[in-house]
Amino acid sequence: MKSKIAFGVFIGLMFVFYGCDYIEAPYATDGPQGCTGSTPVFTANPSPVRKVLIEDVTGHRCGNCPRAAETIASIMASYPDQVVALGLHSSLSGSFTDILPNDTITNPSLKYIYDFRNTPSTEIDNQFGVSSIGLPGGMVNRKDFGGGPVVSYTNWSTYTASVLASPPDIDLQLQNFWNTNNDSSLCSYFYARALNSLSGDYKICLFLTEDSIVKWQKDYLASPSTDLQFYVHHHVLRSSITGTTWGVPLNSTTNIASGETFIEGYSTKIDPSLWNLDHLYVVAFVYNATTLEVVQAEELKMLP
Amino acid sequence: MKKIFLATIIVAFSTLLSAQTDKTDSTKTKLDKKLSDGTKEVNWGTIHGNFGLDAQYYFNDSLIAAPVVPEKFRMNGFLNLVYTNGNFSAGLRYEAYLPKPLLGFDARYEGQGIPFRYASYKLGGLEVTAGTFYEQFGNGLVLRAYEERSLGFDNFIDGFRAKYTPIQGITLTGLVGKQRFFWSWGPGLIKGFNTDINFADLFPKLGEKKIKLMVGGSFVSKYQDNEDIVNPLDPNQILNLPLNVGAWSGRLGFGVGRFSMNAELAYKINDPNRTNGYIYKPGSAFYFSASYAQKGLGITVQAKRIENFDFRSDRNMTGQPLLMNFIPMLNKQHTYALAATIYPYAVQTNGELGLQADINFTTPKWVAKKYPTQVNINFSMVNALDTNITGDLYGYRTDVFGFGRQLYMDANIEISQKVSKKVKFNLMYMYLFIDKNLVQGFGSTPRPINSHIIVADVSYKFLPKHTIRLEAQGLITEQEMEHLDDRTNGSWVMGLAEYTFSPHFFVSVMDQWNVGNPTEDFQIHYITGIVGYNNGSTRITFGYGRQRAGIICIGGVCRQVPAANGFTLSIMSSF
Repeated sequence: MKSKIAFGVFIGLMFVFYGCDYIEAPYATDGPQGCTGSTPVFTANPSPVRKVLIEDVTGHRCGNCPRAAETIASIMASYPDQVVALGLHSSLSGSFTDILPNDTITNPSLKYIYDFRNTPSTEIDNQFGVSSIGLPGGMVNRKDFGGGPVVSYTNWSTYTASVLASPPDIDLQLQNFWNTNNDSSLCSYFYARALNSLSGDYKICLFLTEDSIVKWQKDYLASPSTDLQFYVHHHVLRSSITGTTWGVPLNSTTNIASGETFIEGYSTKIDPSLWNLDHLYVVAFVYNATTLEVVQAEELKMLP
Repeated sequence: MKKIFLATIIVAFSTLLSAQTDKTDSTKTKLDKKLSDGTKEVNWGTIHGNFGLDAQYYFNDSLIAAPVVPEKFRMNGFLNLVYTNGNFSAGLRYEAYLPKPLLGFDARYEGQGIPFRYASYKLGGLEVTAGTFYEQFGNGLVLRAYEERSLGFDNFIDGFRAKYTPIQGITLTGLVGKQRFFWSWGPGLIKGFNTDINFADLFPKLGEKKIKLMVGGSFVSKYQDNEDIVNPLDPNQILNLPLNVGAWSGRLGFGVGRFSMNAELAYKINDPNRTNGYIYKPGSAFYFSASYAQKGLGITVQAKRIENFDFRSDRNMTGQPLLMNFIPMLNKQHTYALAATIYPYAVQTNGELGLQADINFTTPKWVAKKYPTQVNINFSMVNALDTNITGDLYGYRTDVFGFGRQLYMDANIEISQKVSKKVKFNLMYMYLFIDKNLVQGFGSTPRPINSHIIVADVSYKFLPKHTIRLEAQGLITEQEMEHLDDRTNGSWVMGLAEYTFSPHFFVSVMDQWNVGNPTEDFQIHYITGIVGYNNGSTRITFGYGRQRAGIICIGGVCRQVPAANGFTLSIMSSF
């Protein structure tokens, strides 16, 4: 009998040991960093247009994924300067994004040794469940068109047209300042002006993307080999300038009044040896914090 | 860490089960009865349940600011079914909110389905439940999963629970699961463990001496995934969140003769959440109750101190959903409408100090031999904590016995007197103070209200089975004159007439009149009429009238209700 009681108490102690995370001060760590210096001047765009965000969850060993990339290129050609794209390489995509060994014995051509994966891409994939549905896949403005926000690339063109048919809600602009303090830091300012009243909580994300990365890619339509060594990877999401995948709150009140304007700057350090500075872009988008639907997007090359 | 925990749970459950296998044969349930001809009569078990339906047909009524209901008709309904066969039981509840929940209930209940279903069996001292269940540890300070249908409150846990009684007097409970969030589950995983020891059962000699001694301890932890929450004090920082938040409590119950007491002390580690402004100060809760009872006299004294103790399985949730614990209310639960519904008290889960004294007595025979007078005197008060804001994420510091701003006070006396076999009456006077904004969550600007409430209630049984009851109430206040847009403002009077033809029928008419509203247009009559029919366990009521906008509280847990005008139908039945 004593052993039974002792066993019960033992179970209880398990809860004690596994049930508490004490947090000592400091209770917070640096997230998004503000910019130093004076805020730049923005001018309201007299004729703003709506732009759409297409997120392509992809992988360098996904043989059908180049079809999604081609679709984005085609949509961009149809709607010049109205499409902002993100190529997301998620850790949840299994072998599609896994790397191969960096040794010539098991991997003589050293293909697929470059690791595209990063935290924001994985967290976005985890939120929307693209990898669990299958690659290639993605979201158009993270909007639910009837079957959930994750849509096949074959529908991206139709849904883009549907999004761009409505007038813009926000005039969104960017200004980038690179290395002004000689510390390899980028300071990116956004300007968001509501063109009509918006209800609810909104957030803004500032991401850094790199274009034209030449690395291996699997392509089932390629011949004679389906492993392409000099494939050009576009719009690859690299990091979040605001420090978090889900951005920072735009409005502090429950509604945004028409004409209300938000200007803020965020900075991030960039290692020039890792990424090609000439190919870096800042992508910004505003989304509804409840529905996650994107209402406006913008993109600006980091260097002039 | 999670894998280790799950492995521990599995091992613990399987070992508990295996510990019982030696008893299985001897305690095997005899489900089938052997008949005289040698055949077996199969025991199919029993089914019981209950059914409830509340429906309303809405009319537009802009005078009382009733929301327009385009679909005109709404209903809330449920059916509980419980199957029992020997030591096995299983149950489910079908719920439907069609086409949407009644006005005043959370719109997220919209839909229909079977959210509640479980199976349970007992084997020796072990009881295992899989599926959904309700549970309370002690007074509920660290865990209480319960349903309060009239509030639209339901926070059942969906998972596994094992209760184990190794010997009479000791009960061990372990559970793991997620909480109901309307038609899905909250994001947090709850783990809980509770021990109750009743020494009067362990040592029968204590029971013989009418001594009761109970001790208990609970531990509850919730796990929620990490996320990026911006530091409210510095938008450039992200909070370091505790993913596992633990709370525990210890309690003592003691009784000897006519005296009994019950005390519980609880503690919660840092739990930054939306209700406390994401501060890291640990929480604590203390509850004490002592009572004395003898023939013709009952005295109860209660106290509590609550500090930062809102405990939920989602750190970002506010309002009613996903509450894991319950802070007892130390105020009289009034039944008369103006006393109960105009200025009810809502428990402040993140900080309050409360006291209550309640005395019931019956006048001795030498005063009134035939019809003694029953008197209830009740006093309660609640203050906020006296806090010093630290200006950082710790939040604040406070003295244990530091009383802050007064939130609520209720001093009342109620006298019940039977005059003859046919006539009896109740009289009540109540003084009430409330800081309406702070208590009912309308803002941080103080809005103190002093009011006096008087009630007279007379019943007259003019024929056998035929009773008529008249009620007159008044609420007098002069404190709210500047809130000109408020339709619950200033003084009120109320009258009620009710006729009962026992045991089946009753009919009543009631008028609540906001006679003292400083805005003349809002001096509105809220008239309702109800007819009802009772038969055994079935009760049907049908009514028509205006429902006042306001706040409904049960046990200190409250919900806002908008105004409404229309027909109501209510059916309750059980079998």
